[in-house]
Amino acid sequence: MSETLSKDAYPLGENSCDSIRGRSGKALSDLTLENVRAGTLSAADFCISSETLHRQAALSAASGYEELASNLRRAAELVNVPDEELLDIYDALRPGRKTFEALIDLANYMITEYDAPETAQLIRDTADNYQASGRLLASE
Amino acid sequence: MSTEIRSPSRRFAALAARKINKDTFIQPWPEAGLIAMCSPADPRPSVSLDDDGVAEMDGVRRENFDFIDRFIARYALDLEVVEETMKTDSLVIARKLVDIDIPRQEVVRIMSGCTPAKLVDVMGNLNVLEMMMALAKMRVRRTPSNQAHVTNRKEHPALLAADAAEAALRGFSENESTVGVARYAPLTALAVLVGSQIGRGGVLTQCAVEEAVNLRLAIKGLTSYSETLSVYGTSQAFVDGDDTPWSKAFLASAYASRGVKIRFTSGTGSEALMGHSQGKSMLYLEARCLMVVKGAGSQGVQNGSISCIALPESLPGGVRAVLAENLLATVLGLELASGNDALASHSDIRKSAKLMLQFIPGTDFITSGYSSIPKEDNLFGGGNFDAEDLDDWCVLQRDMQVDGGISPIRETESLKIRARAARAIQAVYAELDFPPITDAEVEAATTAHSSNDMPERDKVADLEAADVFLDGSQTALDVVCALDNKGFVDGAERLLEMLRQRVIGDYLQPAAIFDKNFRVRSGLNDANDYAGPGTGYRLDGERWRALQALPQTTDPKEIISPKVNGNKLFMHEVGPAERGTSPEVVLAVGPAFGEEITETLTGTRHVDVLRAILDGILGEGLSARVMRIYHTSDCAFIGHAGAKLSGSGVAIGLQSRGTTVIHHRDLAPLNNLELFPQAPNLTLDTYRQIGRNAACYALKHPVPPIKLSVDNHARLRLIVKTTLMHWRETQQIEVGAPPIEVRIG
Repeated sequence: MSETLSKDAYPLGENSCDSIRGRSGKALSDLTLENVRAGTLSAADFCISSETLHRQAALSAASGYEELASNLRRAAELVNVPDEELLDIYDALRPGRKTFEALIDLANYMITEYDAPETAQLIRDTADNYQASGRLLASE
Repeated sequence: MSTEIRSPSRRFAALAARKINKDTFIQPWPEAGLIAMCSPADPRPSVSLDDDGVAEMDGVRRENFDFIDRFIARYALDLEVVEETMKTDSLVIARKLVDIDIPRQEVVRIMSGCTPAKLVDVMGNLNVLEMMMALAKMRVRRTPSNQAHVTNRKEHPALLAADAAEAALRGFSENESTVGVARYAPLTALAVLVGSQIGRGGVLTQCAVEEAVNLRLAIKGLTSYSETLSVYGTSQAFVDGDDTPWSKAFLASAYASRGVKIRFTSGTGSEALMGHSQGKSMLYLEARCLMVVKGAGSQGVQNGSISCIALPESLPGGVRAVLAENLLATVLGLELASGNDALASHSDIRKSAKLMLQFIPGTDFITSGYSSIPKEDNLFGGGNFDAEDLDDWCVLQRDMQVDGGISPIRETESLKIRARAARAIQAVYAELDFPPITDAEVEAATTAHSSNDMPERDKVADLEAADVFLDGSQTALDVVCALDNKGFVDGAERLLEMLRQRVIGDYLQPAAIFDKNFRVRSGLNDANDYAGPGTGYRLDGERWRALQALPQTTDPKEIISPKVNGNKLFMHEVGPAERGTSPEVVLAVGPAFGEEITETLTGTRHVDVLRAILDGILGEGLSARVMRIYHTSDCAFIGHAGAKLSGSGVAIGLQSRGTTVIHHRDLAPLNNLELFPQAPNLTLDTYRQIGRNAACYALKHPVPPIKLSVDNHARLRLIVKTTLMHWRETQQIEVGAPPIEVRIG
């Protein structure tokens, strides 16, 4: 998913606050102290959504920050990855932790489980480059 | 065996004892990586492309790339412009950096086609002044700002909250903390979060700890940014840090997926310190780091050597190289938090001089951690500038009309906000069932300077609470409820707004900060548009008035009290003074003496000064006449006017502020027998001696000139008051009025 947004759409918090929803689907306009008091909100309602990250990525790109845009698109793919698993993936990508095959499996898993093609591409690149520079785990 | 070598020269011994000579200075040793720029092992810039992308870069062919080369070639180098850039002379590019007619965006475009060696080659053409000009143009955000460090040795929550609130009130855009004992992290992050939001809404906060814990704190909503992502310029140093560019790139996305701002960390000297410089210069390795930072998609970087700063500063050109690395970050389009955080020198002169390289141009964060607490409480290892230096910083801003990101505050404001922050964290601890914070601790935190002023806490109980908090389900949302329940509605609202901003993500954009109304300011809506005089950020209007208003400034009209009449009536004007015919000394005083002004600069009463001089004259058996001069306020001319009327030709000229001259009518007005130009050095004894010497001159008795003790700081201390007294005396001049003889009553 990619979107083109005019630079003027920024800041989203001022210009598009009606259309922003958290990852849980709760509208930004519902994230109020009254609702906190009423007990209708949970911490999960304060997570950024994939859609909003894609919009931020489009805004970064519109101002020429292409690498940041790529990062935010990968982030958009990761919003549904549970916290502990996110740390596990990071650990898997550290040097000497995984075999080539294990990294390729992880890349494929990111596509099937999370529909995360850009993250998968980063992991495949990691596998290729660790192979070329001798940073893989020899065998499991 | 140690032998102490004493300098035979006392001059050299005095120099050796200076603070600057506690610093270490070494000659470059490229093999060990101890060279700031231009190591013989640094490659020449080169690139060649083929269908698969970069076939060769900086003298290394693709098959020999290490993983940093691979990452740079794959993610950081813009293949659209690389050929154009690489064939452009580095001097031509360097000139574009300082050319006010070439916009920032165009420079960023060209620089995105630089290999690491090319980046360094461009920097090599710039001197520090040119780098400063380029930095002013190239930083991402138009408005400069600053970051604070908030920690304390006792890891005391009430003190952390109070100090965070004060830092927020002083205008820091980010408050960074860390811990001495790792397990304190969740409580420290909590205290700094609550204190910061009480101090000013919108301050971003972080607690720098191990990466996994760091991310968990962020996910709980206890921190809003992280700058712990370190990168290195050689693959071995990277691996020693248990990371690669790929793992860091993933981590950057992981943080962003939770709505958390990140900034990478790099800096000259780290590879040499880790023993993995490969003989390359510090700046070349930093250029590689910065391309990794950009390629990984970080919005920004903190560099400027950071904790290694003393290493480049031991080398020739080290400070220039550190400025060059700051500039390199900006030309790559990265937010820059420009160091000036770790202790860089024993010498205050050297520290301040180095600071000016970032302070004057302005950067996105002028320090990547101003130690807003005393040095002994700084758990980052001691700040380069600490709480004790806050007033110095504010004065530098006022001196140069430069915005260094710190606002002066008043003691009453500080006490109020500190008390409120300490009470707020006390309330949160009570609501979350943490070990209680007592009223005595709140009071201590309100007035404390350092953790020495704080009572001890039960550390075992606190750490147990910290463990439960980190592992449990409570988050920042529970903190919002706690604040709200205990009546801290404003704090609850601000903390909630920080959580809402996480859903919006505007602060993930380059160089983003919030103002107190949570209006985001980043490279997207506050892009640096400096294009020479009259453009870009200008410190003026409300902000300039705020930075001028130091609490210690005074109204000059109040420095000298209005007319004091208490000692006034001791002088009675008799009439126009006649020329004397018998041996005498004339004592000529200024137009305001004893009337508009009744004391000297140092507060000695005029009546006493007059009596001391007259005692001196009369003690030598000579008579004296006093006259007031109206046509001038200048000491020499007052004295000379008196001398022309003196029977002996000798007179003493005395200004109201106390400056004195012994004159003779045969001398030119600006010549004299003896001059006592610095009134603060004169005591009543000196005035008595002045009278005695003047009498001796009149009697033609040989007499040695009066010896004075000299206070070198007198002028510094009193120049404003001197100016004001002289202004008032000058106001009393009556043009053309004759000297008037005065009787002392």
